[in-house]
Amino acid sequence: MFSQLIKFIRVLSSEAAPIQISLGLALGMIVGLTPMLSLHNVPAVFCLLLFRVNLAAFLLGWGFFSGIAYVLDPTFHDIGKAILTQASLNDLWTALYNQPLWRISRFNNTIVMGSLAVSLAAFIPLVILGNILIKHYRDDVMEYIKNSRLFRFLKSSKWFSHAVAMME
Amino acid sequence: MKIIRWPGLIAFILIFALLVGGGVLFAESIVQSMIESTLTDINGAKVDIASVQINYSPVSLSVNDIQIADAARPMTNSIQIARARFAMSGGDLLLGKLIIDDMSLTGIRVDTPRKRSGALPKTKKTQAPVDDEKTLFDFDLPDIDLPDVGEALKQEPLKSEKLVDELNLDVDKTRQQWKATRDDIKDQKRWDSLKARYEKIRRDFKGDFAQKLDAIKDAKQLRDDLKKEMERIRNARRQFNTDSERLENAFKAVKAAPKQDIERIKQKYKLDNLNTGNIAELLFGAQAAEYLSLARTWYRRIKPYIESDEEEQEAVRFEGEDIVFREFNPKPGFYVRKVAIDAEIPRGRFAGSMTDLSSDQSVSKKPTRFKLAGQDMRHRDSEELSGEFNYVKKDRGYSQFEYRIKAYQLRDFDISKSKKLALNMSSGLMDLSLSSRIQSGRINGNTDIDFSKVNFKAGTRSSGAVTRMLATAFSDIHRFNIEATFGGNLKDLDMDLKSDLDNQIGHQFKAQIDARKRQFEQDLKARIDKKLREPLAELEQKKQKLDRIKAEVDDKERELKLQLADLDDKIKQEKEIQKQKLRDKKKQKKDELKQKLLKKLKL
Repeated sequence: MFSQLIKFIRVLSSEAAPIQISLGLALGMIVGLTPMLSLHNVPAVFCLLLFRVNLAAFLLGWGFFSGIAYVLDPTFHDIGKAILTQASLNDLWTALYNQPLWRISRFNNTIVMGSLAVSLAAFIPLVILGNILIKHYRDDVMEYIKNSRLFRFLKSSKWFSHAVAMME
Repeated sequence: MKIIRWPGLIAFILIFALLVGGGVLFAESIVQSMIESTLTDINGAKVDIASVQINYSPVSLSVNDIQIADAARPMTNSIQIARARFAMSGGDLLLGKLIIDDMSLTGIRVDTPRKRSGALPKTKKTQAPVDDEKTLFDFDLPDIDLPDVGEALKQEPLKSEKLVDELNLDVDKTRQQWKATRDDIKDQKRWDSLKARYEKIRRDFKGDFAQKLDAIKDAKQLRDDLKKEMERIRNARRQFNTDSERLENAFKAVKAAPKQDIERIKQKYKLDNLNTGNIAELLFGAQAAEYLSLARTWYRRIKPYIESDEEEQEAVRFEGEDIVFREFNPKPGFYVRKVAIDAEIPRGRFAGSMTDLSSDQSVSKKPTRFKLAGQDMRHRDSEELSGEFNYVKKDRGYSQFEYRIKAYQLRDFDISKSKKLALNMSSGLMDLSLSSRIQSGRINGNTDIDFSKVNFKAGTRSSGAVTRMLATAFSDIHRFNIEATFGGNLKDLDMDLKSDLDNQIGHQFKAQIDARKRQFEQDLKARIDKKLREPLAELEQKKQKLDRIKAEVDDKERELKLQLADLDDKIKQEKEIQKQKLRDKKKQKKDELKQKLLKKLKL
C-alpha cells in the first residue's frame, strides 16, 4: 500500500493529465465499493484498459475504497433495499429480473445495487474534484514543497537518494 | 493526447479469453464442486462425485459415481449412483434455475461401504439404532403349568369347608333352641291340666243349670288359656320361620360354595386366561416393528429432498439480501420432468421412473410421483414400489407409498429366537401388499400379508405345558394371513396386528388346553365333593330333625285348633240351648199369663 502511495505521488507529479488520474480513482472507486465478482466491473475494467486511465490511481482507488466498503456495507444494504423496493420502479426491476443477463448481474442484491448507486452517483463529482485537486497540487503544493528547506535538505542527502532508488 | 490504449484493449481481450477458456476448462471441476457442496448441505453428510462431463450443445451434464454418505453411519453410503445424466435448459440456467427435461440414474446401489468417512466436521454423529436381538425376538408367553389338583387343594383353603362348619354350629344351636321351644309347647303337665278342665266342662254341661253356668264360665276361661297356648305356638312358628329362612340361605350358600372354590382356584392358576388371541402379535409384532423402523429410516433419508422448499433468504452480513421479483414464467429452482431410475440391489434390479421432481412444488404445481418395479428378482415373482409426494399445497402436503411383493420365497426365516419358543419358517411363500400415507408428521397405513405353503419349525426349552403345546400346534399350520394397521406419530407408532393364525392355532391349541382344563376341573370338583360329602349329609340329617320338630309343633297346633273349635262349639251350643230354654220359659209364662187372663175374662 505504501509503495502504491509513493507511485501515486509520483503520478501526481508526472506529466499525466489530471483527468486520467481522477478517472482512474473513480473507476477504482466503482470496483472497490461494489462486490468484486459483479458483472458491472467488467465494463469498468474494460474502460480502464481501453482508455488511457492511470493504473496506479485505479489501484490506489480500488484499495482505498475496498477498505471503506466493509464499513459502508450496512449503509449500502439499506440504500439498495430502498431502491429495489421502490414501488414506482417495481415494473422496471421485474422486467430486468426476467432477463438472464441482468439476473447474472445480481442487480437485485441490496449491496450490489446500493454500492453501485453510490459509486455511480459519486463518479462525476469525484472526477471533477480530482481534477481540481490535482491541478491545485501541481500548481501550488508541489512548487511549495520543492522550494521548502526540508525538501532541499533531504534531496541533497545520500540517504534520500538511496531510499528513492530502493523504492524504484 | 491519445485516448485509446490499444495494448490495454488487447490485454482485456486476452484476459477475457483466458477467463472464458479457463472457465470452459475448469467448468467441470467447478460444477462438480458446486453439486457436491449443494447436495452435502441438503444431505447433512458428505456427497462425493468422481467426475463431471459437460456438453454445451445441447447443454447436458453427466455425473459419475455419486456417493451420498449416510449421516448416521458415516462410513456407509445410503445411496451410490454410478451415473446421472441430464439435459438442461441453458436459458433457465442463466436465470439460476436447474430445469431438466429428462434425467437418467443408472447403477443405483444402497448401503455401500465408503473409503473415507462421510461425516461433516461440525455435525454431531448420530448413533445408528442398535439392533437389540434380545428385545426383538424375545417375548412373554403365558407360560403356565396346569397344577396338580392335590397340590392346589393343599395350598388353597376351601371356603365351602368353612361354611359347612359354620352351618353345622348354627344348626346345632338352632336345634337346641327349637327343642326347648317344642318341649315348652308340649309341656304334658300343662296339657293334662287343660284336658282335665276340658273334661270337667263337658261333664258340667250335662249337669244342672248352675253347673252349666259354671261350665260356660270355665269354658270361656279355658278358651282364653288355649288361645294363649295358640299364641305361644304362633310365636314359636315365627321363630322357626326366621331360623328356617336363615338356615335355608346358609344351605344354599354351602351348596354353591364348592363351585365358587373351583372358580377361585381356576382364576388363581389363570386357567381361563389361556387363549391364543395375541399369538400373532407376539410372534410377528417385533418383526413388523423392525420393518417400520427401517421404513422410518428411509423416509428420514429422503425427506430433505421431497419436503424442502425454497426458503426466503435472510440478509447475511456483507452479502446483502436478494430481492425476489415476480417471474413471468415462474419455475422452481430445481425441476426434473422425468427421471429414469435403474437400481441394483442385492436381490435384483429395480427399474422405473420418477416424474415432476421439484424443489418447490408450490411453483411447479405438480406432485412428484414414482413407480419402480423389480426385474430379474431373486426369490420372488415380482416387487413393486410406487408413490406420490404431494406438497403442492404445503399445509396439506403428504407422502404416499404402495409396496407389493408377489410370491416371495421364504427360507429359514426366523420369526422368534426366544428360548421360550424358537420359531422358524423353514419354507413358505409370501404375498405382501402395503400402503401408507404420511401427513403432518403422522403416518397411517395398512398391510396385508398372505403366507402359503408354509412349514414351521418350532422348538422350546421351556418345561411349560402351554409352550410345548404351542410348539406342537405350529406344525399343522401351512397357510395363514396377517393384517396390520399402523398409525400415529412418526416417532411413536401404534400397530394393530390381526391374523387368522390365532384362530388356527387356537383351534388346536384350544382343544388341547380345553381338555386339560376340563380334566383339572373335574378332578377338582370330585375332590371337593368327596371332602364335603359327609359333612353335607350330616347337615341334611340335622335339617330333617329340625323339620321334625317343626312338624311336632304343627301337630300340636292342629290339635289345639280342634280343641278350641270344639270348645267354641260347645260354648255356642250351650248358649243356644240356654237361650232356647229361656225363650221357652218366657213363652210358657206368657202363655200361662194369657190363660189366666182369659180365664178371668171368661168369668
